Amino acid sequence: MKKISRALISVSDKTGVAEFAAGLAAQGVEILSTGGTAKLLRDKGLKVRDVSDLTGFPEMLDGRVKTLHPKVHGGLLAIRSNPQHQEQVKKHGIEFIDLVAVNLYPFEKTAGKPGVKFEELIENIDIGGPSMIRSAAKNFEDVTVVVDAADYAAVIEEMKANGGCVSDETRARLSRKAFATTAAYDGAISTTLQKLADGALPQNLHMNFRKTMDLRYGENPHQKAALYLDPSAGGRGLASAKQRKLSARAGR
Amino acid sequence: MIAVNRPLDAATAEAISKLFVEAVVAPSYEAAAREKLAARKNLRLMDMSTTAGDVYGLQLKSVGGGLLVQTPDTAGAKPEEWKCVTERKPTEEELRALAFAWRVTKHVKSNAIVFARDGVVVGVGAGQMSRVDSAKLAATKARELKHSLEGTVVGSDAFFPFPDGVEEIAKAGATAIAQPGGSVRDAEVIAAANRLGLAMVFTGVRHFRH
Repeated sequence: MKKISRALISVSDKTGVAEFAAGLAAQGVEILSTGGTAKLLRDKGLKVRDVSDLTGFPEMLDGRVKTLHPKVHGGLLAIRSNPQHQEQVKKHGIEFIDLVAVNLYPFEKTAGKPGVKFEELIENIDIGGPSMIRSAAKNFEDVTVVVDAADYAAVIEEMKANGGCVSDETRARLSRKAFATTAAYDGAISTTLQKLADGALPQNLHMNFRKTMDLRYGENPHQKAALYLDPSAGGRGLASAKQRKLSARAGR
Repeated sequence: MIAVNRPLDAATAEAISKLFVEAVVAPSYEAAAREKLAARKNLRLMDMSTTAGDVYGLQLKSVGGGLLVQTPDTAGAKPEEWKCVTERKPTEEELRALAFAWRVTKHVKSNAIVFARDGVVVGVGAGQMSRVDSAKLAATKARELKHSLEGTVVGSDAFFPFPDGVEEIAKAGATAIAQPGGSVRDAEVIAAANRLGLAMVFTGVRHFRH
């Protein structure tokens, strides 16, 4: 169990984020935020501290540099149980950040827009977001990382039930999900840029598929099997077909 | 194409050099064998020194908008666990041949019917929609190549849904069958095998491969 005292929230997709932040604030969590997310949360009447206040450094370069700072990454990566880390953190005035809620610039969506400009594509490569996600996910023993709005409610419920704490199991699960997310994100960037340069067959093939269903078995009963969906297929194709009725003969 | 599962020696290279072969794959080649085969134009020699697993140890098949993913079929042949279901038991020689046929059957595209003797494949029926057609195809290919099917045994990668596959196999001259069993018509299939004097074992394991 790890208690959440300070959270950094910086999201591109703002779905459900105000409710999530309110839920955190209700349990006494200090909310750090940036740019558009900070504005939205303040508009909803929440008390928000700017990341620039934490870092003592302004957001700059059109927002390319906001959270890339030792006071952010130190606060995420410091091992709480390590005395040397504790000492260094104190010396440099680094404050622990216990929870990160980040989702990324929509690179794949941008790449899918017809006639998208190369410059727009490049600006949609998120740098600060994946960096924070990876720092938090690496230090999952101390930090909770939330990359999917679908996890907001469960995290708040768990904190409510455990005096503001998140369980080891949940932090580990969210960390795995976080790395899967950044891997898919970088894969999409790599594949898209290679496609633009090389055509249909990229030098390195990074593919991202999401398991949608465990199957009874593979070609034979002693083989395990599952169905995976290509998220970029947009819900088309056999993999997205809906089963309307179960067979009356439930297999052989 | 010829695949060899041990270092390729000079005598084998000599025999291969008399055939029309485009590619040979082996774990390694003795120097004399390599020399012998290097003289042949348009013959590719492939070194495959290790057996590689599939990506992440999984097999991937693409379907529209996604993938079907499965663990590989790693079930080995275990003749000691087979169950004889016919009145006549397989002879020792038939059992050895069945074990070999069953190992080959696993690697043939479904529906698979493999006619074999001990250590020698005689006829292969693969990729057919119906099992009886695979049996007919295997027998036809064997006859075309002037291989006798008298006294051979058969591996079938899945059960026979009807007695006709067994009848076709007996007609071709085979005397024993290894198949998983598990059809709702197993009784009819076993009755046909008994009527035709075949020995038949149920392996309890299926080897579909598509």
